[in-house]
Amino acid sequence: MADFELLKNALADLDEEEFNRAFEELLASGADPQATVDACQDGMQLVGSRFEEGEYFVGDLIYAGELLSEAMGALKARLGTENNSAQYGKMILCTVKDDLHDIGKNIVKSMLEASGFEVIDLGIDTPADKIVKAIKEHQVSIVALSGVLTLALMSMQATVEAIAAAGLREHVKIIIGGCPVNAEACIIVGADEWAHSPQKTVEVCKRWASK
Amino acid sequence: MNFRPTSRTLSYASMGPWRVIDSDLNVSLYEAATDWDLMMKIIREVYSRYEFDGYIGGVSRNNFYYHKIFGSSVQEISNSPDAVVQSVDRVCLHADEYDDYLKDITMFRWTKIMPRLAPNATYGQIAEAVKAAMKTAEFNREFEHFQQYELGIPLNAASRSLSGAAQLMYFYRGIKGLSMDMRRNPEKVEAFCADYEKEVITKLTAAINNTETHAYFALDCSLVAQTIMNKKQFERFYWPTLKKCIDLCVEHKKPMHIYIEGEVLRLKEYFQDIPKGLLMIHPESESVFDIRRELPNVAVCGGMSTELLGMGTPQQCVDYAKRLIDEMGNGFVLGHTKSLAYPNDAKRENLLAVQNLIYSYRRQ
Repeated sequence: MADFELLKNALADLDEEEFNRAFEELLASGADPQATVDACQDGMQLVGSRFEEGEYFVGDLIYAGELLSEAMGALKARLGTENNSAQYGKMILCTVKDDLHDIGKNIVKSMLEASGFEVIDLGIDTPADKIVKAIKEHQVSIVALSGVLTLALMSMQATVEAIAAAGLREHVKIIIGGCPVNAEACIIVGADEWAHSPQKTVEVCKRWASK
Repeated sequence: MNFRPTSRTLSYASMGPWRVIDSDLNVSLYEAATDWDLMMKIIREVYSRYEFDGYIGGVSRNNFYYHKIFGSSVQEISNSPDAVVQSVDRVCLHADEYDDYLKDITMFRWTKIMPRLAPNATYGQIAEAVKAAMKTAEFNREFEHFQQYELGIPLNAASRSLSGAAQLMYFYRGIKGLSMDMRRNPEKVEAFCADYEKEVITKLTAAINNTETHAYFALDCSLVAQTIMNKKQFERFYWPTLKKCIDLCVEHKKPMHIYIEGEVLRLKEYFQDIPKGLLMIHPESESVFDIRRELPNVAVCGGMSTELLGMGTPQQCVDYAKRLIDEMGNGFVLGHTKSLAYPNDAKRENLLAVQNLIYSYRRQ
């Protein structure tokens, strides 16, 4: 008999067959969709922890993210149009202008959503003015910028400057992530935080959202 | 472990499309990359300017021709800010096609992969692409001749290889596809890598037996796909071929240059028993100081980050280069952490400042 603990552990162990079986059984038994989401989130948290410990690596995060996305897709209809799991509210995530990479961004998105954020994903090659417009439209206070190329640092800097020029800088916390970012780049770009791991991104965003 | 001292620290360049940006000819990347005569003029100008001791990835990997002919290629060509080229995930081999691929690779490439990359290709375009490939090979021979006989700089390596896993990641399945396959179909990934290994070993054996080459290394190898693998996956999909390459080079006492993207030291156990003098590790992002401490048996190349070269001042670059030279000591080649590709990867004044230092400074 499937239970939430089994579902959580199956995701944490990246056991796709067991995860799908447990998930289907929960759906068939009419289990509470929100509780199912919570179990998936807990499993994803464990995946993140094992990544931090070095047992899992990037490919495992991608795999887990895929399993989670498929499950969330199936659950959305059950949850209805309102996302009850977004306890931390909305935030913006995108790959910055001139960078077309999104795999890292999508991993982070899965983990942020699993942690309780409603993620407004602006996609790839996102110009600064589009980000500024989205901040105003969705009234968010957290922005996560992703990039893989060294070129992305220039776009991240331009984005931070555009947010400041729009008079929004003091209302928004900005975290940057991806291959080229580090502590020095964070200072140059003008962001508030930087991260190489999805887990750190989630922890920082949760800390900001809790204030 | 003591490495043989040299009269000065050597410097390596990893120069990609940035050479077009640096050129005083002021042409666009698209123009240069679709005109081999123009590209050769740029290379003559730029390579003569800096006088590096060696070049990594010297021959040109150029998909612009195919993009021009077919309207697409394995890489994405963006026209902003100036025809930036980026590798994006592109799936040419579906998850259930491994067996078909291995049954007849040539037929599969022409009948399945080619149509996926260029769905509207005509016979005329294919003929043009073949001519472009031949012109590329001709260009690369001219490039290598220029480097060796006009600049007097040996080629970096007599053979170059990626791994089967890297082939899957870059050209066939993409990052996401390979990540899923390693969990869902590990035996298929293993079979692909084992098949690709034959080509790698054949090339390396020929390079080792080539007594007429003046290249620095027998093997130039880039570790890229391990950036998504946990250690067990690395052990299963990457290490078998890499170990065979290393064993061959050690047996014949031929040196290797391995460029490693992502983390190096989480894999240090695989390199720590290689005899001194046979391996130069070139890390993309990990600290060369840490690698020197943890792997004293390997020579190290790198240290000059594109962030510093692109955003720092000449004095900052020179000060850091001095620190590298002084602290890394012998068995160290000053090099770029990443290939110079984008406008912010380096400033001419910074590269010149560091090169001037290389020729005048002696380790303190």
